[in-house]
Amino acid sequence: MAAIFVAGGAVSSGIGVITTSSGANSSTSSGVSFPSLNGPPPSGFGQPVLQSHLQKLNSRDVVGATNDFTSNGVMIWTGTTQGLGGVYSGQGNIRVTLQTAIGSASSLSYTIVSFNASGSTSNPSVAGASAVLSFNGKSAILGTFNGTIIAKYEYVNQAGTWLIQQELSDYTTFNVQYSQGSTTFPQWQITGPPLPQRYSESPFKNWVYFYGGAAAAVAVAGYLSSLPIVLYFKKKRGSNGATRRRSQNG
Amino acid sequence: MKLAILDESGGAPLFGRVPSEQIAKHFFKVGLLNVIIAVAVTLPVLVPQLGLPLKLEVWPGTWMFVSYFIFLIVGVMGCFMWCFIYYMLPRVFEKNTVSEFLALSQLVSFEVAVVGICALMGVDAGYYGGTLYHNGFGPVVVTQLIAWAVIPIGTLIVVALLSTVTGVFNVVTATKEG
Repeated sequence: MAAIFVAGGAVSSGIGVITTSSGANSSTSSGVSFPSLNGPPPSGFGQPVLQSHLQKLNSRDVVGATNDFTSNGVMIWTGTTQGLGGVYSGQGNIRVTLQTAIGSASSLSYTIVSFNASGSTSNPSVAGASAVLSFNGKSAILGTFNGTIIAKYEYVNQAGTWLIQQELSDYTTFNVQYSQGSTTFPQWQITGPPLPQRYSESPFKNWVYFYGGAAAAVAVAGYLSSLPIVLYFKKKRGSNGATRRRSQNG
Repeated sequence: MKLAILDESGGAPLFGRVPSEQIAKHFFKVGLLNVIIAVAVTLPVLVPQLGLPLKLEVWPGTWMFVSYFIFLIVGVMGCFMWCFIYYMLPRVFEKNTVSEFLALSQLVSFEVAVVGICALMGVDAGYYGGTLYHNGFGPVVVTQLIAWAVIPIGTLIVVALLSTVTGVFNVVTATKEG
């Protein structure tokens, strides 16, 4: 199994610095604008809206958490993201990222440390939220992990439901037990020796790692080493045939 | 022309025998096919909208390079090399016939393995992964999305190795036939 599709260097956040300003609209490095909302939060919008979203993350409800975004919603993760950082546009890309990030977690807990809501003075169907979140959990990819996020959200009200139009999560800390180990086989590390104590959730992958790959190599080597055996018997058979013909000819 | 014969030394043939040059022709044709495939997969470089130069220079887009040169070296040059070996076999060693079964097994498994490896490596890991990374996906997310191809590629590498060893078998068990 020679092909290893992992980043050769250090895991980066994948995107540049994201900036916000106090203007009406501020631009991020990815070209995504994040509005500055200075009015009071609209009616019906508050911490329970974000809490509901986090509850879905805690229960690893990837589909439910993805549906909390608008169809063209944007999720930006930056900071110390352990390779998960990026700009994810649209529900499809967000779902894939959430599946990668939380799908493999056996336990996960997001907690709101602080929360501030805001709104637009001119548009009651838009709301903003700033929050500090702490999280911890355990996954097959990262081992045990914990961290802190400074998050900003832009919500829009669609048919009476508050949906996330944009999320900007700055991972200020993200401590993990296993770093840079998210590859085909969890036992693989980019640097350092393999970690045999780590197992994939897929029994097939574990079988390939521990037995299948080596068995395939042994099979090819066995096939190759049978070459002289075949040559020996072929030569011997040819020699016997020649002897037989000589004896028949007198 | 298929020849069901005894070899010169009197031993029974392992499989049906065919002239070595006939197998050389098969490899030559498959080699030409691979040249056409190589031209076809080079064409996207000319399409600016695909942004291939940008995607090629960063992981995992570099796998497109790896896959492309593997195809040129193994798929094209390797095919013509086997053509050359089967063509030269009667001229250098005076071994005229080889096993048809082994030769066709080698040819089919060789082509399936090379095309499969390069397609998975170039399209999934290289182009798809490179596009995602270029579009701002994090490396861990990209890795998770393309990593499914690793085990199939490993399996096809095994097939390619078995194909090569089969070719060696066929050459060393070639027989003389007037």
